[in-house]
Amino acid sequence: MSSEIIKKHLKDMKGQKELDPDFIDLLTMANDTNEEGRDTAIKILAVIKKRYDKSKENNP
Amino acid sequence: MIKVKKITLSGFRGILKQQDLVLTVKGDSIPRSLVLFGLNSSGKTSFVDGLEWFLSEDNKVEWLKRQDAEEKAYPHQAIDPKKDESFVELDFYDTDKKLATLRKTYNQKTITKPVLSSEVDFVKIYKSFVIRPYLRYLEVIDFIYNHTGVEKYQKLANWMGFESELAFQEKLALKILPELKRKKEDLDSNLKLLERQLSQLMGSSIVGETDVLSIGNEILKTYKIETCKDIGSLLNYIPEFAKLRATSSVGITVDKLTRAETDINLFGVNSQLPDSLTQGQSQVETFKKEKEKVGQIDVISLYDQALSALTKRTETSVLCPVCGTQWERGELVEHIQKELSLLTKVKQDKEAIEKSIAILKSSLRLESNNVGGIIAKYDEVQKIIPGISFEKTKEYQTALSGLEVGWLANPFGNIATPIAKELVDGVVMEKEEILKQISTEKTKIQPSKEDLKLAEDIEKLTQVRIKWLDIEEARAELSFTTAQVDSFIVVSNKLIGLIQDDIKSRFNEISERIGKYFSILRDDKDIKNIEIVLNEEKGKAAGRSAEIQLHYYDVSVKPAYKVLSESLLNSLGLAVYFTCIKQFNQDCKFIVLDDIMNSLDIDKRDTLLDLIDKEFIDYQVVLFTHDLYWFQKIMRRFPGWIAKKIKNWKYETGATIDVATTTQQEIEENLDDSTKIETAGWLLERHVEGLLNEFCENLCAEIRYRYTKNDPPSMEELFVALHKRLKDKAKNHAVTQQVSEAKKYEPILRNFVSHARTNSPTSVSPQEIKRAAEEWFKLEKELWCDKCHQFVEYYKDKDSIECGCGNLKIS
Repeated sequence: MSSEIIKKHLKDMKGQKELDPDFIDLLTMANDTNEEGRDTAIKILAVIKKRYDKSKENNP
Repeated sequence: MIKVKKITLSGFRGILKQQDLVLTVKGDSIPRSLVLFGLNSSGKTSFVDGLEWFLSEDNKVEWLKRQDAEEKAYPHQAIDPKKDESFVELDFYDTDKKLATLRKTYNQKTITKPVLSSEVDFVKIYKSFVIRPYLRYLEVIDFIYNHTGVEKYQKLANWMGFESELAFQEKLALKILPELKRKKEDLDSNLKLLERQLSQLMGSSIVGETDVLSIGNEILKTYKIETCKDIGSLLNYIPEFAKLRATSSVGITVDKLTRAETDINLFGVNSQLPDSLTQGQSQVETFKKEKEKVGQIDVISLYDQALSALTKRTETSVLCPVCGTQWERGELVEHIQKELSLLTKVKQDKEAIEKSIAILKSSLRLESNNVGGIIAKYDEVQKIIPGISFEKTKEYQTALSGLEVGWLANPFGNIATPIAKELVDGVVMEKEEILKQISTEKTKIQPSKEDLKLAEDIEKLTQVRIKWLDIEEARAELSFTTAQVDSFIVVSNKLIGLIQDDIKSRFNEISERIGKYFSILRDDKDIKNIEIVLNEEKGKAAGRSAEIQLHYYDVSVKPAYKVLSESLLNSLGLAVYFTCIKQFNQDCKFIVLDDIMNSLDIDKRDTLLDLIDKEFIDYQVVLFTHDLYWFQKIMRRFPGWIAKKIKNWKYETGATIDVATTTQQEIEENLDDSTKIETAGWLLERHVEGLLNEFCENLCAEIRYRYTKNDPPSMEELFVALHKRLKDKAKNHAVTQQVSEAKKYEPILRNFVSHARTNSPTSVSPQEIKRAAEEWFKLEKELWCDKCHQFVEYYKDKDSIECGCGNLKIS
């Protein structure tokens, strides 16, 4: 069961542009689709790994 | 605003044939409140179950879920699924005219997915009731006593409609954040392993940048090479330094041997592996030996069938589908519960073993890779020293591979071959022997001491460089991941903070009202400032648990059950529930209360009616009770309510519901029938006795002390006490005289109680009973307020006898 309140909070948080927008998007999707917590964690770690690889490319 | 005009059940729970609970009266389409009297097991709860199922988005009846009965127990067991339908239908009164009649029909093919008459309208209904509008007696008790802070929070989430937010909080706290933490721990362990290896290479317990630079420069100095100023320069220079390797064939051989020597030195057998494997194998063997348990694992899925057998069969003796034993139907539930607890244990044992096996598999794979790597090194060495033997290592590798594809692939089926400790010792000895032979060979090929030293130093610095770069990479990844996870935690904390603020504000909103409702239910001035508090700093469940806090004699107490009696706690549970209803169900003014007055002391039950009267008079209340005295009281207090009674209940049909009359009407009807004079007398006596007790209590009339419950005050004593009290407080009032008039008939009424069986119907004339009734009802009228529908009470602070609204005063 997704929560409208959580959806609104996440939208506001994204609008404030102070916090990581990708993480906010992942949490929004987790709320909308009611996905398993472990699946959300895997997606978050995949984003982190991708960012790390890119940071290595930029700073070899 | 939504209310309910009619509730219809058919083939559902205890109701076989269609049964309507009509909540309107002829000539008025606006739904009214209803009080329904029925003895225990007369079908009242079927209506509550039906309503819960109808309003549940998950199509569940919670209490049946707890009893492991679930969906199969919803339809009446005697219906013919091919011909009959099981359904619940509600006819709504909607001021916006958006909702009319909705029906939820039990689906025999997919029992968890009923057929809805309108999907869209059902969604509207689910959303309209933020708080579920039905409350059962046991739930009040359950909320206060049987819940931890976390469970209480879950219940409040359920009552206050923040279940989705709670589920998300739990997902973050229990699934997402631990998974991210685990990733950080894995990266950290990898870094520590690399640091240990570097420490071993350098022969130093400290492996910082300065130490590596110092050891590197020390070596470079030996060869009169200019030292490096920083670690970066050193790492860049090491490949240059390696070029100093002797280019002669002897030099190359020495280099190869030295490199192999370093690698072989870094190899270490996992000496704990044989013991871990033996332990795992023994766990599996013990488990396998218990054949009965293993057999039961295969029939876990049959448990559902067991329940099906329970709900469908009608014969007295039933075969348990789990163990095959013949059981008496009544004992089967208990038996299956025992069987299930055994199966649960077996399942847990199996899960524990599977977890151990997973750890073993991972260790074994690592060991197998290490051994594969060392064998490759031995092969290289063998090309230089053909005489070296590493049969034990090969044997060890074969054993590891055998276990990986054999026993560990299917521990419950395949046979285990343990790894002998002697074999592991043999591998270690073989390694020592090969290292010795390398050393001898290096001496034998007679390179100069300088060449040997140079080869060793080059190899050492090369390895140090590799490990250092690996460590830097591991540190960078750990640091990057930690920063990213922290950044996620900031997002998560912000969101959790916002959710908690929402919930706290809901708690604050309702706290004041809880205090107000509690003070109506209980006039206890020592209990103040009742609040629902979010536990924000309490262990793992911080932010996901709640407690009730209050001030008792000006001392703050949390949780509330520490100081409150059972009865006070029940009142508190009711206050919380009613507050939630008032606060959050503003569009749906409809509540069903199933026997909840049982949770209150008898003398405090009026206060529940006071609460309804003062705060919920615009609500449609459907109240079920099995208490006849209470039922009569409600009829008197709320004359506008529909009053019905369940006359009887039969398995084949269900409840027979009839219109209820007040005792006065019932007495009068019996008096009109000459064959029922005795019944009228008996009813009148019971009625008079009950109300005399109530009047004496209301007016604080002095009655003799009772030593036991079996020695209640007689009717005469009650009359005398009431008369005395009224005489003291309202000497010249007509009501005092009316008590005397009514008391004259006390001996006649008493006869119906004391000698009811021996009294012949003709011993008291109908006229005498009629006169007794007339005098009594005159007295009742004198003490009854038609405005607030309550009898008068004595108010100590005002020293006055008056009704609740103050309209009627006896002075």
